[in-house]
Amino acid sequence: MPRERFKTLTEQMYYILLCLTTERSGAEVLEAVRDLTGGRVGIGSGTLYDLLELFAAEGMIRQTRAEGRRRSYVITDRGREMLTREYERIRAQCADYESLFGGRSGNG
Amino acid sequence: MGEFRRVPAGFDFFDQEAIEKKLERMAADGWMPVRAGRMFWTYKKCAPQKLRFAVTYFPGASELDPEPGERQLEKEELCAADGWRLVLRYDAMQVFCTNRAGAPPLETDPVPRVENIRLTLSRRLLASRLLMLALILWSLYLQLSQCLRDPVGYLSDVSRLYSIPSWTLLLLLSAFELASYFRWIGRARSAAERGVFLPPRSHRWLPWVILALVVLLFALSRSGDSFGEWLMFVCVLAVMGLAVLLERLLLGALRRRGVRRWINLAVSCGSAAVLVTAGMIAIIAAGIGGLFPAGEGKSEPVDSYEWKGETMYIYDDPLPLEVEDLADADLLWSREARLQESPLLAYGEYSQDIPLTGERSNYELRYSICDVKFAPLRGFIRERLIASRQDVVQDGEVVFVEHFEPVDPEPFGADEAWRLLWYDGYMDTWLLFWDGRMVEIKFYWQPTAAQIKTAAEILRP
Repeated sequence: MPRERFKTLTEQMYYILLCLTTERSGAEVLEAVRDLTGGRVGIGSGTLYDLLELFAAEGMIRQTRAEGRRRSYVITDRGREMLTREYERIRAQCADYESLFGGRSGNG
Repeated sequence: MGEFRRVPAGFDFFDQEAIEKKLERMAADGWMPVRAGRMFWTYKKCAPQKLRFAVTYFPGASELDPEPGERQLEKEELCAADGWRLVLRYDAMQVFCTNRAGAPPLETDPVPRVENIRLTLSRRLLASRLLMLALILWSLYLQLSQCLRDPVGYLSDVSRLYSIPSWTLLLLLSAFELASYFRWIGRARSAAERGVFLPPRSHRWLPWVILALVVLLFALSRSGDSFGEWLMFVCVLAVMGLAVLLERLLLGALRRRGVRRWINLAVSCGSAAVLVTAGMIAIIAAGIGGLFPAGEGKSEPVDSYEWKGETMYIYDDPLPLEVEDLADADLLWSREARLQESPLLAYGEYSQDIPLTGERSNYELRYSICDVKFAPLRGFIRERLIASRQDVVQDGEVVFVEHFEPVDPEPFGADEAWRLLWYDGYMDTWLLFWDGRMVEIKFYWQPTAAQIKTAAEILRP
């Protein structure tokens, strides 16, 4: 996966990294994302596996433990940097929105 | 109805949506997939049920792996923990199902989804297509260089002539598949960044259409072949078919015995290559031994004689121009005609030779007639015929003279005439051009003006 791809994160990438600020296994990440977003964001287990592999290959997360085929990960400094950059991008988008509509919804 | 059913696949390897829908329909009818294959999928009878299926790809997996890798099992366990049960594996494909109506899809982010398909596709398609492209380009190069070296022989031989469009069709197919692949990568990656999944486009009928056209061209090119030549072709096909069968059987057997992927591949392909080599040697030996007689359409000798331990044959083919038309001679000759014709060119080589053991005389004749049916080729063929004899040049200096020079065409009644200059004088060899007909004639004696005129009258179109 080219580095270019992680210039911005998709919503699912963002939440996976966010949940890995605490050490978690794949199954725990699925649960944590559902809990954190109240079920709004659902990550497919296939997608989660692939993204964990990609993040690990890019050094954005690192493996901490392996119990059988259950591996746990935690975010790295690089991953945290990406997460922060994405957070700032989203905040900038929110700020732009607010400068136009104040605290109101754009629908009026 | 039995417990198992084999059903034609009917979908492309990467058409996830079509595969999932088909499997859902089959499950609703009470058939669960148990084994996948290139052409057929096998289903087992079960209670009709409403299931959701998900097809994904694990790029590192191969149909040659005796067992799935640890990472692949890890992914399957993670999916199982989320309610997606593995149904089957086929090459890099993994098929899961769930009976939970509200379960989130297995793949929810198009970015890794596209990447998985890209990696799998590149492993399956890229190497084989690039190899094929190189092979096709090499074959085309060989064909074109043969055509340039001997354009008359090549363009009048249908079996060789049709090979160029056949290779070109295959070249276009490979180029199209590679272009589609790279185009899909660019578009799918960019769409995935916007959260949209763009599946690879399937052109599953295209290769079959191209293959049918190639087979048609091949059949056309071989339509004039003798039974012996067809028999040889069938033998070659049988050897190829056996090699493929052997390779498939070995691949399966070695995989079941737990042999590692690359060893399996090397042993299976190596065995197939040995079989092909042995088969080809046997076919060539049988050909030399006369098992594939060439041609009821070709002339048969009428007599033979021995000369220096070799059997020489005497033919009595009809010739358009014979020595007797030109001179009062009565000798024993071998008259041989070799004809070949394509939609572009008709070409005949004729000779009237005295047997090597016969009475010595100069009354021998050799000539060829080339009728160019496709007018745009006339200029090219003319140039190549004139250039067929070239001076020998070393270090920029002519060390031996051998070329055609233009002469007066009037004695021949031709549009153009060239005569062979050889060493230090003219030979009795001419190139004559009329509209569409090109003749090269060699007299073994010095012909008179009357003989030249008669020969030209007979040979002109």
